[in-house]
Amino acid sequence: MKSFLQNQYKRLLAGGLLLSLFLVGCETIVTVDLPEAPSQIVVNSLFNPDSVWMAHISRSQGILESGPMEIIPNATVEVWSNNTRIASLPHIGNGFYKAATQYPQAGQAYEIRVTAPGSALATARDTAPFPTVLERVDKKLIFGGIYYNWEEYECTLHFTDPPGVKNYYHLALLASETWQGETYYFPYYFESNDLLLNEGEVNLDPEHRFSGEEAFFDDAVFADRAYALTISFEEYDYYDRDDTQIFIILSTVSEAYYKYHQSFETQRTRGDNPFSEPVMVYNNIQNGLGIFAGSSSSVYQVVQSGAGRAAGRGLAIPILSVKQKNAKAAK
Amino acid sequence: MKTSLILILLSLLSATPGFSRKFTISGYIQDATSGERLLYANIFEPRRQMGTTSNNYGFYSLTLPETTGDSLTIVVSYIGYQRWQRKMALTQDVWLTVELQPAVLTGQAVEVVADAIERIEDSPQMSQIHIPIRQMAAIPALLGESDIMKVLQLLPGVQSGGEGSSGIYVRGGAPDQNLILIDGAPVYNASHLFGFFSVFNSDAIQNVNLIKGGFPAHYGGRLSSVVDISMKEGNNQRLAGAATIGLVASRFLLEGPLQTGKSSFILSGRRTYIDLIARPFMHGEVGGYYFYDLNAKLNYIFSQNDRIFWSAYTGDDRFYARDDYEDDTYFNKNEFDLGWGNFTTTARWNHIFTQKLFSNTTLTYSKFRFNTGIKDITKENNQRTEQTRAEYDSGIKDYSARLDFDYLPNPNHDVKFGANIIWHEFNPGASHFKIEGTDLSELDTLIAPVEKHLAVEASTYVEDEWKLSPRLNLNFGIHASLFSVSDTRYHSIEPRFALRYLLGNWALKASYVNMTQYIHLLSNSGIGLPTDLWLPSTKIVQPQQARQVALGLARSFRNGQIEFSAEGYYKSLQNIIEYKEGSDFLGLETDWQQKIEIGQGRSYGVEFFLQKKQGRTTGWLGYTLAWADRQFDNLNFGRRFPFRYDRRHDIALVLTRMIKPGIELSGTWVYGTGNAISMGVARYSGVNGLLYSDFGDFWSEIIYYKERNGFRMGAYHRLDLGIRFIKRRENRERIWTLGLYNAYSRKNPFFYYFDTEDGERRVLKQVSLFPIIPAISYSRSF
Repeated sequence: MKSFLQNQYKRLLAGGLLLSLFLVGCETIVTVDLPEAPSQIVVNSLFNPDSVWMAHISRSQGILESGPMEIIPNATVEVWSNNTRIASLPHIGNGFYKAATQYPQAGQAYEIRVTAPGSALATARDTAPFPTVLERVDKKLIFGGIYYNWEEYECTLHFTDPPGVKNYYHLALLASETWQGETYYFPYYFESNDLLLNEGEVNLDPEHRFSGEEAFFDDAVFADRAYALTISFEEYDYYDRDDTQIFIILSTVSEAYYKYHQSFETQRTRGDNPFSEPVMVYNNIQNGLGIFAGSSSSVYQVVQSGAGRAAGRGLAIPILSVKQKNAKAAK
Repeated sequence: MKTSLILILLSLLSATPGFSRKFTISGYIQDATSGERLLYANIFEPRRQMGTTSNNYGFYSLTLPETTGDSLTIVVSYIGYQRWQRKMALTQDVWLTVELQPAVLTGQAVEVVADAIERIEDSPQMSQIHIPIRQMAAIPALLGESDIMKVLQLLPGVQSGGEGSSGIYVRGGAPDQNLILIDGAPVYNASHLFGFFSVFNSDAIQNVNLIKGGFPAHYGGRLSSVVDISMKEGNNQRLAGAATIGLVASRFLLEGPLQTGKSSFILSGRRTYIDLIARPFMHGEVGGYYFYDLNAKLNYIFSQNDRIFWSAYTGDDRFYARDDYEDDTYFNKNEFDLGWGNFTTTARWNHIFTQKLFSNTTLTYSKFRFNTGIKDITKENNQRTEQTRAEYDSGIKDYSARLDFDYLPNPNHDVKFGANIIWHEFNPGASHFKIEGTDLSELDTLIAPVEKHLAVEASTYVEDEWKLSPRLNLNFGIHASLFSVSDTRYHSIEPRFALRYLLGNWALKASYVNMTQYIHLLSNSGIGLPTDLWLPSTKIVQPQQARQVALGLARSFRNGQIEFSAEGYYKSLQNIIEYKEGSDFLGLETDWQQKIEIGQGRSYGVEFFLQKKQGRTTGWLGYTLAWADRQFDNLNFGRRFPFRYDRRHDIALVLTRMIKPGIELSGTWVYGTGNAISMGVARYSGVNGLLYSDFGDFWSEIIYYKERNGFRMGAYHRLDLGIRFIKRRENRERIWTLGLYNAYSRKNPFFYYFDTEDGERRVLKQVSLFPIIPAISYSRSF
């Protein structure tokens, strides 16, 4: 209802303003030329110690061009650190470049170097911060139970802000379900009353100030100290398969990552609001566009499937990172 | 002790070289036909080369050595009036009120004339222009509505926001940095119809004084300019009136004595009537827009030494739309309202303590409010099933008391001092949502900030205009102020300094000012929409500050008929505010302070002004070469970016020519570099979300803006033409005015947008308002 009212309100006001202008004016509309913006290399690489190096390389389009973005299949993509090449990323299809086995390390500064025919060398630097450990997650069943096919949980996440540096965080919930032997992951909706996630936004429903699938925040209100963040979510089991798994992922992200996401999200949600200035998205690629930014994650599994679900209700279990799993499997 | 010091200071100021006795001539300068006091008139004694000007209330005081016989000559002049001259003796203090006759040279039309006694090179004041309202009347205007703010836009250093806009941007400053006063009361939103017309009905205005730099110490509270507008006082000799019928609005004015020669009133009004004309043609859906203005003023002369004034202005804009549907069982009605307006009122008391000491006490109240809302009512079977209402209110109120003294001990000093206190009440926006109905949950919510901000601003000043030698004049002073809001206090000491030094026939002028502004305007558009919010300085948002230095040359030619000035300036701005990227005034944040960024700005440039003030042809040519930019840590990634109204070249040519008695031809041509706007130049793929590699990819498109305000709209230029046919008989006058706005129908850019043609071809389109627009009006006065 809130967004409906706001949208109606803005639309009416914008319409009113424009109509008023045109009541006294005799507007004419002409097509005007726009100086062509040269196409640039677009590098998208968000790296995390849990995953091998990966990047997506494409080209930008002039604002007046239409059609799908052009991918670059024949670029040379390398990751360097301390003047040493760490990884070469071969093209694996559809503009994606992926290293075979190399993983980023937290705390290490990296530079990505991308060359493509007809374009100058594009570079960017960033570091994956050290992860902030999810020390404990207190889980409480608010509603539902074994006789219902949905349940509401409240989880309090305990973590300590690493001292001495400005830290930026990303919190997300992921769910997985298995279907015909394949496991599918999807973002999961959660809510919170914690003002940390709201950045001053007022929701008409004061009981659930924040609602969404992910949230970014910084350490301004809990710098260098412990913090307990409470969220809630509902779990449905429509098909009674009882195989849903839900994960809480707390990531420490670099400043570049944070700025990129915040500006990107603001541009995306601003839409065509005539009352606000256009939003510029953060870009840290020299001689190009895009983002090269690092993060490190702590993962907790808070809802688990099958027998574990029945036995472990009320518990939150830290799970291994993908990298740790891979390492274990290799042994 | 303090009293002794003041007495010593005053006696020093009173002391002048030489040992002869001195006497003071003082009084008022006024219009002989209406009794209107004339501001900034020139009073001069040619033999001794000594003179002064009348103050804001028409009062003057000139102290000269004793003279016997008729060897003293007093000459008084004012643009648009015949010169007055009298030979006299000066053996005692003299009270002399001078009545000037309007300069009706042809019997048919008024020609702008004045004697060139006060020349541009005489005053240390720079960056200041007085514009008598008579001079404005002849300048062609959009839809025939003459507009003082649009005339100000034709002066160098003053820019318009865009097509048709009446907002002003002075030397790279924002609209909130202009102190716009009507009879001393601040006007917080000076525009109608989203800026196409200003709120000032030129019929009711006597004089406009614009200061854009080198501010004397008695002005304060804003960074970039002062527009001091004086309303007419009303004819105290006879009943008079005027009525004008125009294309979009009609106006009336009625003035006359309550007691001949002693008291007078003036009442004027204006209203647009597009809505009234369109109403009969609307069925079902009803919508319209109108604005109106009302000005009223009373004044009463108790004695030679005491006079009181009361004046008021009120004006409103209202846009409304209604739509309803009804059948046998169902009824639905939508209403939309948008309104804003100002109300100001001023009470003044002029008192003359001695022939050398004039005082003015002013009480003012000023209010600006903005309100918009939507309402939706649904009924089924005559039972109300649902009602939704959303409202948004914002505004500001000021109560002010002010005391000013003007002390003129001798022709070499003009000392002004005084104090001012303002109580501000800010209402920076509250949204009210209310839902009642059977299908929806009940809701009645007032979105913060619920509490209003109350603030007190107090200031005091002293300044002296000191003629040190025939070559060197100084104006120096200090303006001190305090601001208190909640538990936060700010203070400011602002030195002001201006000098003039004569180098042969040229005057070299320089000025330095510090300015502090305790209130801010949070603007989405920068064009002065009524949705802009007035806000106080707070603990987080500190007062805006500016420093400005200016250096200039000035000279008059042909006995003052032609004036030339060139001024260079540099202005720095601190603590200016902007919305955060993506924020707007309707965002439902708890606190407006979370919507803003705080940054700085600078502007610099050079202005040239060539003006012909007298003769059958009058007008001016102004050219400004300027730069203005802004820097905010969190906007444009901390890099400097051009101010939206950074205008590299700005040219205005204004000419009025009396081609024969009773026929007056006028034209203006303006050229300005296009506004700086943010324009997407490319698109590229963006990755959204942390879940990039292991859990899936989330892609969407990013619009690439090279930099904020990094794109230039097309240049703006326009020619307006006008012709007036004036017939005058005794006290009656009728004027036919014909005008052409945008005579060569230039398609000036108003805004741009992206569109798709032929299904998929993306194009950039430009919307232009106002092609060639003819105008006609008929005015009759008695």
